[in-house]
Amino acid sequence: MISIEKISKNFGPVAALQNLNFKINYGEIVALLGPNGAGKTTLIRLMTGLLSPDDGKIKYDEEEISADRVKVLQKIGYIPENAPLYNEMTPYEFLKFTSDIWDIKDQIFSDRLEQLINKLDLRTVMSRPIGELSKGYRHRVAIAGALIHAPKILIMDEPSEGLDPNQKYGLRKFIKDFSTQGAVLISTHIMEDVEAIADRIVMINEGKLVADTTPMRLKYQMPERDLSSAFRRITEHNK
Amino acid sequence: MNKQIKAIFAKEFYGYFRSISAYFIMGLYIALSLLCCFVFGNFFEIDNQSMISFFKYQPDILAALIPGITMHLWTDEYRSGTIEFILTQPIKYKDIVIGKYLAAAAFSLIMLSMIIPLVVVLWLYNDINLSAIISALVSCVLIVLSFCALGELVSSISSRPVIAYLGSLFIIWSITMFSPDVLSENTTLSGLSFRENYKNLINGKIELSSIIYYLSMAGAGLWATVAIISNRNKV
Repeated sequence: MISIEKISKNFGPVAALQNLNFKINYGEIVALLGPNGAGKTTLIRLMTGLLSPDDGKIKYDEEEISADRVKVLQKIGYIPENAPLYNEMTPYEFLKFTSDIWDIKDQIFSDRLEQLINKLDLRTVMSRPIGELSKGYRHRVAIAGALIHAPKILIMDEPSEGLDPNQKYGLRKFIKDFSTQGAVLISTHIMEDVEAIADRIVMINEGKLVADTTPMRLKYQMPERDLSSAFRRITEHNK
Repeated sequence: MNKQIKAIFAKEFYGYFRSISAYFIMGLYIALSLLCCFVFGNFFEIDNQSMISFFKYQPDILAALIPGITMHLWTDEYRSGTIEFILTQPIKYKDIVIGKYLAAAAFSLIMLSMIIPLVVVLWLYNDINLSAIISALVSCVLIVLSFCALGELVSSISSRPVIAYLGSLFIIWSITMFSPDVLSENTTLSGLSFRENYKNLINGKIELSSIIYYLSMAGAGLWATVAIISNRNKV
């Protein structure tokens, strides 16, 4: 279980996050929603150890990330926004490099690589430089990199940004499958994705938690009965 | 060396050979070394048993070229956004810094090894003072180790390779030009002078104090780089 406990983060005089509290259980897909500048990326960076909170704790199965960053990161697969990769490497080289950083034995790497190639349909591009790949393939390579160590938790920042409808469908299916064995947090503002896959919505606005509920409940709280209107009403109401 | 440092080292080291600029830097090193040795160093006019006219200019040549080798170490990670990838892997910051440093140092030492054929040719056709040449080579290796650490430090501060290059050049040049005995007549301070330590080594005097001088410069550079990378995390 992931626990976000009373997290606050300031950048100079700007309060990026204020006293945020919520939990994510295994088997759950949680959509992190909020308008641009709400603090979603800051929260994800705190959750992955890229930033340290000014106050509060982030725990993964009772282990605090700020206490032992290296140990806690072993549980997480993280795909940053725009899936930054080493363009000069081929997907095979990138995945081998990632596997070496994770200190994965060669035999285990070969088995996992084979599984990921099949699952993410990467076989045809394995020996091409990443810089020459389409956005969809780059995304899949980044996902493979995040899964090479078989993490229990997957954190994705704007995962379907720039993908075509087929690629979005494939990604949603993949996230659904993954959530049967672990926890997923996706930061997005694409309501279609939220409706299709999320079990829960955590919405933040101006650094504060403004909703923690299921998509269904949120939808039916609004007269328009749709998530986009709910998103608009909540974020505008809280301004 | 653990597997993680090896992985970072291999990525950076082989990365040099993917780009033409690495071969350009090697070519430039050879060209500048030969030019300085034979044209400015009056190679044929002075006694060159210890290749003094060759080694005399090495600190300046290395000061100009090593920032070109180290400038991409961190700037590329910042520019491409892969910093977010690498810093969220379960690897200690110090291991990333060391892996990158070793790659830059290994590449620079390969570049330095290009002078070995010249030593061999001189050996075949002249009497040479081998111990003095070995001492000078050791000093060049120590210079490479210290300059690479300073170059990596500056690269960790900026996201622009040109700024990293010019910043490293400025810092390295300031250090090589720093000579406390110019400011003070206190000769005990001369131990802090880069040129003084180098002069001892190219004259065949391998002193522990000089080795410590260069290695502590490298250590300080690496320590500061780890501090910068770790503190980006705390911002």
